[in-house]
Amino acid sequence: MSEPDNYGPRKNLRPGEMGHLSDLKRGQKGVVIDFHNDNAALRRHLLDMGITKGVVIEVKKIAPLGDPVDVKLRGYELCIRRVDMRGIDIKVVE
Amino acid sequence: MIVGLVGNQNAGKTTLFNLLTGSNQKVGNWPGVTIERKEGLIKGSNDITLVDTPGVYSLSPYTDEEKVTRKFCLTAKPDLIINIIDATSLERSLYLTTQLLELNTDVIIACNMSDILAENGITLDASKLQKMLGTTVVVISAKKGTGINELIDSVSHKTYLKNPHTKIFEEPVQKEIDHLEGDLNHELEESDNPKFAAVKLFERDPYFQALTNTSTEQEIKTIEQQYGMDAEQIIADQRYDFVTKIKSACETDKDMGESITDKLDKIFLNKWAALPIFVVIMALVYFLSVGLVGSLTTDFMDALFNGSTSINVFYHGVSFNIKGLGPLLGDWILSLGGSPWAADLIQNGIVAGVGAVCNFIPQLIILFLCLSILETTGYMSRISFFLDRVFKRFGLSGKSLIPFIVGSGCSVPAIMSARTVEDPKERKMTIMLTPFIPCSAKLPIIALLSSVVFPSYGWVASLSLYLLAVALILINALILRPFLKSNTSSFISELPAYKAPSPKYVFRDVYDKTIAFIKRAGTVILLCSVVVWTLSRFTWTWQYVYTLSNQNLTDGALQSWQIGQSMLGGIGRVIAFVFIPTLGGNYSWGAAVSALQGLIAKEQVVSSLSVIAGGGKILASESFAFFVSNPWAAYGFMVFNLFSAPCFGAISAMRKELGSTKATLQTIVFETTVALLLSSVIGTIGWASNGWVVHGL
Repeated sequence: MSEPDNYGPRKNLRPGEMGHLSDLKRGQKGVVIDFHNDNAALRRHLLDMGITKGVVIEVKKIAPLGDPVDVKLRGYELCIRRVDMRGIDIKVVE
Repeated sequence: MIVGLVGNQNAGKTTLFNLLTGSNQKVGNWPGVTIERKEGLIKGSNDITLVDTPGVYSLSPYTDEEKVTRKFCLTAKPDLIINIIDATSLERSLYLTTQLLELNTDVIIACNMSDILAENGITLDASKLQKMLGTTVVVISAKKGTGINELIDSVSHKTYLKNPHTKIFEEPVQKEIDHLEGDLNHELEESDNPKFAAVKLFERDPYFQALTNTSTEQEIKTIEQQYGMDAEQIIADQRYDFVTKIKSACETDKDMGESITDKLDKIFLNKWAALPIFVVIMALVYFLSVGLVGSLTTDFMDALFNGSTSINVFYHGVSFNIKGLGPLLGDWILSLGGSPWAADLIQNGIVAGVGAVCNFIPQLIILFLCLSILETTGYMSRISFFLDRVFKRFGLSGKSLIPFIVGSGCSVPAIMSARTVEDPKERKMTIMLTPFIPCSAKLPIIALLSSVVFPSYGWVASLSLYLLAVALILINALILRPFLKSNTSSFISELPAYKAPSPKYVFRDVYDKTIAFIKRAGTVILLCSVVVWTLSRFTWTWQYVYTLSNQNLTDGALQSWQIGQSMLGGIGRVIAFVFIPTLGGNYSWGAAVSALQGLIAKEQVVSSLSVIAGGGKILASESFAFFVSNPWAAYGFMVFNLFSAPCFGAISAMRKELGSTKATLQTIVFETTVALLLSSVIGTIGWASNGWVVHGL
């Protein structure tokens, strides 16, 4: 598995634009459009944690070294690695 | 009657368990404190057993400790499940509830954290929640102890509602699941939870597919096409839809702005400040325990056991004339007409041996206190969050940090807490590397010898050993990584809200650990001290060594020579060669046999040194004076003892968690080799500075 050198958001997404959850900056929110992960067990885990289509996810805190990221969804907060955030397609809402 | 306590991680299950049963199980503010099921009788009953389980988010388990919970729910056939939910994150909590309600077991919802709803801007309509879920809801606060009596009443008088088996899925899905359930009813017993099995079958769970011949692949495919999602997604989606509906009907949220936790995280997770803060906190732990308290109490404690005329307090000599417990008992035995060897056994065998370990109790209390505070405030989860990226590079997970920090107390619970690491390979590495962390039983070794390395700044040496341990873990992880490369690595965790530590629990935790240490001193260490004393005071021909004479020697040198003639001296001289580089060119059988005893318990090393030194002051004795004149030897000796094979207790925990004797033996050999190599390198610097002379041969 190759790891990207640049962990930070590479795009400057505006509301209405599509991208991956990993593209969001702190404070930005996106609604989940689709979600895929090569690891079936991990995908299942993230589904159980509430990452399903239509859910709004906000980037709350970013670890000092840029990864992992603390996101808020469904009234609670979840830590997740950028690698796994790239499998979550979103549309920016604000 | 068996009642299970099931809920999300960090929902307060164990706090509630302690309240309901009156027991004192360990609680903490990080996900995964409970890793095995614990049982207790509900207060005021003699037939209601409450079972505490590890926290789960779903009945599809990811880690070993989560499997414990699923197994309990599905196969232990509990009569009732108390589902503890966190009222401040209702949606995620109720997701698990929807699964529990598919079981063939009644469920009571214990709605916890009611005490902090207001400060989070949440209002909850519990009666509406009960109506919509169709099962009993009791509002409680495990922290404040409210609602507990209602909960107990409901359980013991069986006034709770029956499981309603509410239908939660949309029409086509529910129809298919009902159909599957109908088929399964012919094949499975009622107690096999056919409702739950039907949903799992819909999700194509291989375990349940194996239970039945029913083939419904075609129907499932049709539904998947209809929704444009796969079956697992459909189920998760509709469970959350059901839960969201309940939440919006029962709960109102008011935005309270930035919480205290968010404000604190701006500091503790600040891009630039996070790492320095972490280092300062860990340094503070060692400064407080080894430096501040150590310099205040070590000499004083030693004087109580072995007597003294003056002690060091904060590096200043203070006159302190006390006879000490050992000399008092020794003289008393002699005055009763006891033989010199009997007095020696009591004074220099038992009191000095056990005392050498008990000297460090004040420092250990401070260490335990610091660790307990780290565990209960919620800071520990931050450490694993911000160091995950670094640890991932080395083939470990940020979650490995939790075993490493718990390991500063004791390796046994630390090795067990590695179960929270999801990936099997990362978990294996974590288990293998955890014993490198200096545990509290190694603190006596560190505290004794670090004062030699950095006089007046012993805690700096202690901290350097901790940092060395971290470096060793990372280097060894790199070495092991090619053999244990992971491809399912992930980090899914939560940052619990910061909490002020509860004095009651912190006190309890520190008390339990300290008592366990004292108990070990009074049993294992006492027994070993007697054995070491016997072996070090008698020759192979059973002659008391202090009756041997040597015209060339006097005083301390004579005593050291006499003990050298003992059986222990004979054994030690065989292995002492191995430690010549480690000890900076000193051939010391006493240090060699003491290091070996670290297998029994690490603090036994110091106890053994003390008995061999003739009782009392180890570094002032002729046998171990070389530690003072050659600090490299002291550092090398510490490094060997800290990083070599752990004690038998930790080895058996490792054996249990690795599930393989071979892997355990490999780990021990690996650790000991690393320790011997590193300590030899350090000691050899001292040896070179001595001009390559070997002393003591």
